[in-house]
Amino acid sequence: MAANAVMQVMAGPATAKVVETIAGPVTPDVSWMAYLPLLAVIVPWIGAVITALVARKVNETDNKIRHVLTCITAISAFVIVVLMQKPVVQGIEVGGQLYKGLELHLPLVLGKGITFGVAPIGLLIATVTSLIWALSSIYATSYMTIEHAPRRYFLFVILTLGANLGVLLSKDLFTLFLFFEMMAVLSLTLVVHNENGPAMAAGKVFNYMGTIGGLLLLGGMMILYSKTGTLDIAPMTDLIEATMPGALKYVVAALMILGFGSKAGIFYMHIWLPEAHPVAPTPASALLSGLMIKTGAYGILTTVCMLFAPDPHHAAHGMTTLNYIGYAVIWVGIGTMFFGVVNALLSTNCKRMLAYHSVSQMGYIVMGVGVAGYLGNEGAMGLAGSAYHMVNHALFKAGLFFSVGAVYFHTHELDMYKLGGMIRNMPFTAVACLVSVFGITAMPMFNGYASKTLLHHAIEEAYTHSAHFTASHQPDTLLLIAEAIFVLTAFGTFCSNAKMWSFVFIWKRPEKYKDVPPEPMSMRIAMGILSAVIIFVGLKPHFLINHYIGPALGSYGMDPASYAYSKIYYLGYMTSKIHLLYDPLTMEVLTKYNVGDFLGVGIATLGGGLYFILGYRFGWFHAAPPEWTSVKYQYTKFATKFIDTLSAVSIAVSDGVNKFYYDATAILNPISSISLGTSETVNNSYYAIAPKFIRFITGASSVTSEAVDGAYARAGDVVMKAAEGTTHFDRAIDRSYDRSGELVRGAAARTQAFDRSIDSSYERSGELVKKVAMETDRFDRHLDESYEKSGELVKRVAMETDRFDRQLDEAYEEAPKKSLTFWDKFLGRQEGGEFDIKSLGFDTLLMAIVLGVFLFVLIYYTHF
Amino acid sequence: MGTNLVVLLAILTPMIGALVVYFASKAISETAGAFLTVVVSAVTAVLVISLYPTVMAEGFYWEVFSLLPAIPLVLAIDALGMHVGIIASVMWVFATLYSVEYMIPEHAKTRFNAFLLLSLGGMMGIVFTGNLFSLFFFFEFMAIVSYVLVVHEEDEKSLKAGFKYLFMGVVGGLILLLAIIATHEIAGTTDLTGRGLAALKESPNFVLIFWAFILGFAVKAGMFPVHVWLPDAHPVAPTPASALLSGVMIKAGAYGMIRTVYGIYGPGVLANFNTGHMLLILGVITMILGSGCAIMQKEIKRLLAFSSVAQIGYIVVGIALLSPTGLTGAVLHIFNHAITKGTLFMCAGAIIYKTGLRQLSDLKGIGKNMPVTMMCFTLAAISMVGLPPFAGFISKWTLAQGSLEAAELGVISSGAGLAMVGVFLLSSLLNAVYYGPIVIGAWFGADEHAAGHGHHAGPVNPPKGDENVDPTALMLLPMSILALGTLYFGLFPTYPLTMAETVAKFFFGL
Repeated sequence: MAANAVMQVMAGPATAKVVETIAGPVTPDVSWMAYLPLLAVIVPWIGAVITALVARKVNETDNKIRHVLTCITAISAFVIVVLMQKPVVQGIEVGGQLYKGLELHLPLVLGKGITFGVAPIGLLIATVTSLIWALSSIYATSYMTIEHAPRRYFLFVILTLGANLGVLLSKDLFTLFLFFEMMAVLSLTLVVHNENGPAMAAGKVFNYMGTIGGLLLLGGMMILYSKTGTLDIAPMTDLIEATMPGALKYVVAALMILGFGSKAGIFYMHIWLPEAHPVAPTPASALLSGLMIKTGAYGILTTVCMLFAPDPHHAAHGMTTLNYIGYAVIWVGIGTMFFGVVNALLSTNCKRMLAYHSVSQMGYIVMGVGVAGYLGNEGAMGLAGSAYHMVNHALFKAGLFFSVGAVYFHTHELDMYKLGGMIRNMPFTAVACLVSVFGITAMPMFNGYASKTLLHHAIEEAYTHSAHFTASHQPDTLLLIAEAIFVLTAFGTFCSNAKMWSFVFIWKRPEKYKDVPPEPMSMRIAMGILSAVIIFVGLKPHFLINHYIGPALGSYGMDPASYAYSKIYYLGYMTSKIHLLYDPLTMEVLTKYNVGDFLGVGIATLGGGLYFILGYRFGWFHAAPPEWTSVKYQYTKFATKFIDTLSAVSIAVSDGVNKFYYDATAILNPISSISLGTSETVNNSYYAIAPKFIRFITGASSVTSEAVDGAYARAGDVVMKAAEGTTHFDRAIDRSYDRSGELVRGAAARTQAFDRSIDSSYERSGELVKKVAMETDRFDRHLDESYEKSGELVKRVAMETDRFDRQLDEAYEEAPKKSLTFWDKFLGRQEGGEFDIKSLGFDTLLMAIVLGVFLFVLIYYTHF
Repeated sequence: MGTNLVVLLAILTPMIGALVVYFASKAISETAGAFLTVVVSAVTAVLVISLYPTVMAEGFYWEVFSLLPAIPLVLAIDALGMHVGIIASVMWVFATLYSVEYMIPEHAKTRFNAFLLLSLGGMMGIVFTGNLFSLFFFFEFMAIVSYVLVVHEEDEKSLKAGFKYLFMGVVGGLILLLAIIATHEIAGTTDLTGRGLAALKESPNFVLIFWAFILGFAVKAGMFPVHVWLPDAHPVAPTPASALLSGVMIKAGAYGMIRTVYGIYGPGVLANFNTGHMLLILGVITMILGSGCAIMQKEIKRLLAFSSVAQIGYIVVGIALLSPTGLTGAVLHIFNHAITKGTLFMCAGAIIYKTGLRQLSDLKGIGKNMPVTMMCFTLAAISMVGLPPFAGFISKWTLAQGSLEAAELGVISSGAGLAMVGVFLLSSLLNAVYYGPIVIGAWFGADEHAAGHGHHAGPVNPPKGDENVDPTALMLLPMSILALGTLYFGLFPTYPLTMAETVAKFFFGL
């Protein structure tokens, strides 16, 4: 494979300036690093296939081999991704030159060539992705013992990992789309894994929404590429503005955001998510809900913040394209988060509830991206918040799914109202779950706190900065409402998760679950590591900001001089000190900057708690909204109608055309009847003429025959006479002989010898004559025979004529019958079917067309 | 002279081979005849491929002799002819190889094999001729000999479909002949090797002759509104023939259309007339209508046939866009559709051959019994829907780029360019709507076979439990190579893409 590895030089974040310089000669050690993104995709694929080939059966030995190989594969993918951190973020020095970023171009693939390239945010998500994938694989080693078809599961789950990493490690949209679609197809197998009714139904929705989303994205990409000539994931605002004036760029942005949004689960594109995530096996649910939807969010972030990246040095005056897009995306995010949480509150199935929370949390992320776009080069807060929240959501959502799955593993129950008191059976799970719940509810010292704080600041900044964009130079009040919805969603998030945790782990334990054994060791490992990471990130929130998110901001066109830019680092630092409340210095700073955030969490907790109590008291959690409010219902109705109508119209048109060809004959009825009439007339004239003709022939023949007879007879007379003459001659000769005999005898008396000889000569000549007579006789007989024969001949001719006549008659009688069978065979008509004009079918059309062709020729030559 | 001989042999080998196969089948055995068919196809393919370097370097033109005064039989090959010729001859090898086992329970194998080869000869003749009269000769020849393939079963259904096929083929041929004669009268030549006949452009009957050409070729291609024979004729033929009819032979029509639009008229001329737009609209209708009908189908081969109608729509649209990239997409799709539809028909045929099941409702869970077959089907179906990294994606991408380019060039309005992108996406979605359930249903869900509920044309032998009923390697080999081909030519589309670009560059004089 001809691979052209190129290292890209990018200036560090300190100057926050992207220098697009392609390095000249690539040193060997650098090029080795450049292959890492490709390896991250290929290694899981190879590992998965090898695993599936080695471990074929479902028995203890094969299961063990399968588990070990799968975990090794997933962990090596994680290692490969981690290895990329140094060249991408810190850079490596080769020959006194600092190389930053990895790029690998495979020119032959897909015609256009695909390009891997690693950006810090993509790498961050890829790192979390591969980490959680490895944990999920460990978790699955015990979980999959209660599921069927483990071989298929492990094969496809690791194949999906490769595709997922590919999305995050792409340098151009074309490559990204390739892996995006691959992931969609491969992960379908995880959704439908159970193969029961709900799984198949969910798979259907998943498939259609995935396809529709992919096609919308593809449409956006097609237009973008056609206009700009490039699909690089790089800032191209100027190019877009230059090549797509007018509304087209908004169309492109909308198509791409909707396309990615279908995977991210944004409002109105989310319908597949609460269907598909709960039905998949739990380790796969964690991956679907925690990681795969992030590719959608990452795509939206890339579209808004990278392709339409703002000028880092000049704040825009008035609304730019990016501002409009960002503003729309904020509301998409707000709508999604609120809608998601409302549905989560109404869910009874734990996994379904978690899936709706994924929708809701994606809303936070999308909102952050929206703010980043809306504020242009001052939107660093939104960008950092959403990137950070992508990581955090992955961590705590995986943790939540893992713990719910651990409960399900032994109880086979997902309804939170039917569970209870599981803390006594599996305290480890209960604690791990609580850690994740604290994460999702943004408790200080847990991971969600930092990212949600950033996001909250972001929406506040959007409100305060909106004065720059409004005509009245007053802040946009709508954004204040957005902020309120943000807080309200936080209420719901707390309430819903607290409810789930308490119902599953605390509430009264049903009798039948008294002896439920504790979770297996592999699950403990997975949940334990995850909880540790959640707490680590919670305590050291600046770690990710310093190592991944901060260095990336510059490449998204964020102004390093902006207030938000520096505040992110500061907030990261401050949130990390939150456990040092006793420190008076920290306390002082906290009061100044952070108390608001802290209070915010407190309010959300209190509000959520109140809502929980009231909701429980008044049964709000069991309210069922009417069917028409269901987005899925609306979709299904529309889609069904659309497809039905389209197919029905298509069939009708196609059949119509077909029928038209048959029915075209109706227009040509006159021609057919004239043809038929002519044909019958000719037929009748045959009937009329033929017998006459034959009679004439017969008559003429008999006359001729008689004439010939007469002639023969006459000729016979002549011959007879001739024969008689011959006899006469014979007798005359006899007589003359007699006479001459006497004469000779008289003479012979004189010469005996001579006499004898004469005698014999007489005798001889007599014989001769007799012979002649006999010959004549034979000739006569021959003649007679020939007479007879010629008579027979004439008779035979007459008979033949007669037979021919009969045959003709028969043929005429048979003619219509025979042609009917012929057409029957061709047209597939039934025996004895009615002969109407409609069934004339193609033969008539043939005539019509030929006529048409004639007309055409006529017209042609008159014009020519 | 060496090249002349090779070209002549490429056309004559299958025709003479047909006779050899016929007598060998009588003299030795039908199996020997079947294998001999493969050999003849392979020899033809080798001959055709061996022409590639010469043709691509310097082209090929040879006036063999005069059929009539001033109407010579001309053999000529350019990039387009080479492209379609290679596709056809190679696909024939796969189809004949597949047919060795497939045809075992069938009757009249000798006749089938002989006529299969005769059709190949006709196909080779079509793409290797340099003027319209020569093309017409082979065009009609192929139409007539392939009739025998369609009616092979000789039951009511196939006779009816065959009659329709023959009839429409004859009418299409007559109309084509009319156009050819008119062209000859006006332009004094029917040369196909150029980029437009100047005299024809001056004629007042320009448009009329154009439509006569298009109609004549459209019948063979299966374009709306003369597509009605296709969904009847393709499913009733034995599967190897279906694969060739749907995968290759309809491309003879598409080939003719490219020659008409670009070789006889030239893109610059048509861009100024509404006829190009009309053709584009017909293409779009064909595309959507084919898919719309396919959704409603209950029998797999009929579904595939309607899918072919839809795919011909893609090609027609690509031709009618009158932009270099659009033409590239069309020529590329001729290639991609050939391997993809070939695979799909072979897989469907394998299922019918082994189980007798043809109703879609009966194919649930078939993946468990025929894993290799259904894997091939799945790959090809994904390619058909147009997901990366499969071949179908490349042609769809190119065609969409072509429609936006056409808007840029001013052939169509920019709104229409965007609408065309929408049409391509909608068509992909529709493809997913009818291929998705087959694939998903085959692998997942219902364990029990619902066999016996639908209408069955032949004997049904549904597999029981998890028993593996994949056919033997003889059938699996051609279809898995083709299925992997859809993946390979998606990942590395260099060969077909370069060919298609060469064709487009030639016709646009780039």
